[in-house]
Amino acid sequence: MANLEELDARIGRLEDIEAIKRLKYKYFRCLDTKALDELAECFTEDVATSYSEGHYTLQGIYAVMKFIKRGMARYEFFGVHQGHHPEIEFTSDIAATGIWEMLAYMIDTKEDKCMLIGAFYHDEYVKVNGEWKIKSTGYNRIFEENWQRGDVPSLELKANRFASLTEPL
Amino acid sequence: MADLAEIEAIKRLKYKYFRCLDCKQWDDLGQCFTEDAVTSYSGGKYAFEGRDTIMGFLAKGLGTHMISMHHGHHPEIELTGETTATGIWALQDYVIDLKHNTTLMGAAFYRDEYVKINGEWKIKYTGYERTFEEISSRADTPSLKLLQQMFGKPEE
Repeated sequence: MANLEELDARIGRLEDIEAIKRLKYKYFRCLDTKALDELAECFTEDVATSYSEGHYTLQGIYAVMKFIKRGMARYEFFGVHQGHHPEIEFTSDIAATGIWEMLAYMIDTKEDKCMLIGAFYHDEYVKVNGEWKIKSTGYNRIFEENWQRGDVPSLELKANRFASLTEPL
Repeated sequence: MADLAEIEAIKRLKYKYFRCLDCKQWDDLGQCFTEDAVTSYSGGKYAFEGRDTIMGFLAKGLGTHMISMHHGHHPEIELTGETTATGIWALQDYVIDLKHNTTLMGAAFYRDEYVKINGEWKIKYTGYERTFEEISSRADTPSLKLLQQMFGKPEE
């Protein structure tokens, strides 16, 4: 039978996995709701990114947030980023890596376009003052495709949480 | 408590399976199976026995002209013994076939059997039954453009 200390360590590991999953869920939620102040809470100060196979390599929270803000600023551009299949691996008690499969479906009402992306995220996390943060993040795309919404004549946008907002972020 | 760790390990096995499938990492995918693994894909249409046979089928069926995205949701993992378990998963798949210029969208339920060998969970049996599968020609969407793909140059 496991002693209490060992049991405690095993429970701690599962709690850490759960906390890292929640961190990534918050990251995606903040992206999709354009809650950028909250999104910044997900990162360490020295966060590094390697988005789109390294095309967007950025260093430091200021540069990363500026990049995200530029990408998500327009309220005519919205959609979902979904993270699936977390493979969380610990490199120490306060450091971990994660692989996620992402699906993004984005609508651009100004350009009358849709976009679909499948990709794999590779992340590094660190625990700072008891809280997990993203230390590095990036993704490689399986594919990216886009098309004009006008190609589907019956397509009708029935709901849009940003419909009443016009000024960019 | 031990059960939770086993369930987490089995979920990770399945996530690795989907990742290796979509990244076409056949050697790593092979590691997910037992040597005597059995499949019954698409309601038994693709029934195979033995890891090598299964891997041959998957590598051939998902050549570089096939861009696939398989998502597994809603795991119902049941531990049936110390080293055995079953799992039900909801699959959603989206597959672009560049050779035939089609897009497939489908849903299915996987039913798996897992076994723990030398401390590692492996897939002993896997199969799915389709809820639906639909295919459309990409030419129906004239502006559709593939901007990026993992296994070669995009069209244009």
